[in-house]
Amino acid sequence: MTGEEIKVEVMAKSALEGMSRTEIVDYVIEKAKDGAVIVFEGQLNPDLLTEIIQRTMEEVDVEEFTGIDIYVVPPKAKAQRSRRSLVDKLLGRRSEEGVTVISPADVLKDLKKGEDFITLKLG
Amino acid sequence: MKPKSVIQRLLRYFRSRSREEVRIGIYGAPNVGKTTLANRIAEDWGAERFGEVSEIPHETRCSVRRRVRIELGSSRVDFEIVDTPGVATKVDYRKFLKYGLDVREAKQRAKEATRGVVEAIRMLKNIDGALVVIDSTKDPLTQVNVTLIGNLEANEIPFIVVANKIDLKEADPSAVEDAFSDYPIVKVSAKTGENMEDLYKAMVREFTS
Repeated sequence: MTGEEIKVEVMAKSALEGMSRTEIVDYVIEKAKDGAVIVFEGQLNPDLLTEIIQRTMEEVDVEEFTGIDIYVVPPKAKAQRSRRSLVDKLLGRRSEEGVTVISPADVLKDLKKGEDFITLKLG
Repeated sequence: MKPKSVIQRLLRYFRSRSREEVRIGIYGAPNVGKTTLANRIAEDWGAERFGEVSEIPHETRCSVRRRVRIELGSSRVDFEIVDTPGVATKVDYRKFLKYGLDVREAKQRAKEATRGVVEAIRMLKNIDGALVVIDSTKDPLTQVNVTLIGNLEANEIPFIVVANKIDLKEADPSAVEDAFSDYPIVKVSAKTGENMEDLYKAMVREFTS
């Protein structure tokens, strides 16, 4: 493997529960600007995601930081059998966990969901 | 009903009572046809056009408002329609260069686009309802669409999903229906005007009850 190193941080749900909303947003922006990919256990609620998008846009500078990509991985790949159920899961309306990945723009090239794992292709 | 929900409904009620019109935001990702839809509504109901449309993303970088009176049968509703800038999670000026903009123009457009996204998101707190426009030729389950709809739902703001561009050969509005089947959906072509009558009926029904 060649090229620049990309740091991936995995954030446990218990760590998120101890943070305020502002702290989570600050953390995401700081890490994204630093070029890191953050994998959150569980799903971030739509209000928080909206706030993250807003803060991201406030922080974008045209040269260095162009924004983020957000991916929500529903709990199980088989959930895709039902689109309705998938939307429920993407909106975080189910108790199952899933995963939320936030990366600097265009760093995450591919994300594959398996039954019990996800594969991130970064570059 | 949760206390937060009651307060939100009351706030929205008093806000709308302080205006004569029902304020509706047109939301969606860049290039889904928001301004084309806004212009179609304006044209159909005798209001001034909202703005120019362009294949270059982020053509609308400031919200534009128009007052529109919709009259259907015995119903007459005054709306303030707000055409908002496209919501995105990233804006890279280099993407604009391929449309023929020079570097200075592209950077300026990127700066204005980011400010536009912030403005659009802030506006979410100040609307009575929303039209969430989705491009029927693309996968509807993008994070922007899901986040917008989740936000509107969480804040109990009524909205209609507008599956746009159904005039195009590659359109698959059934994918939008499947993805958001629990919400009011209208399939339209803002460009040709197809099914706009259905949208107006849905607006009167969903935003005035």
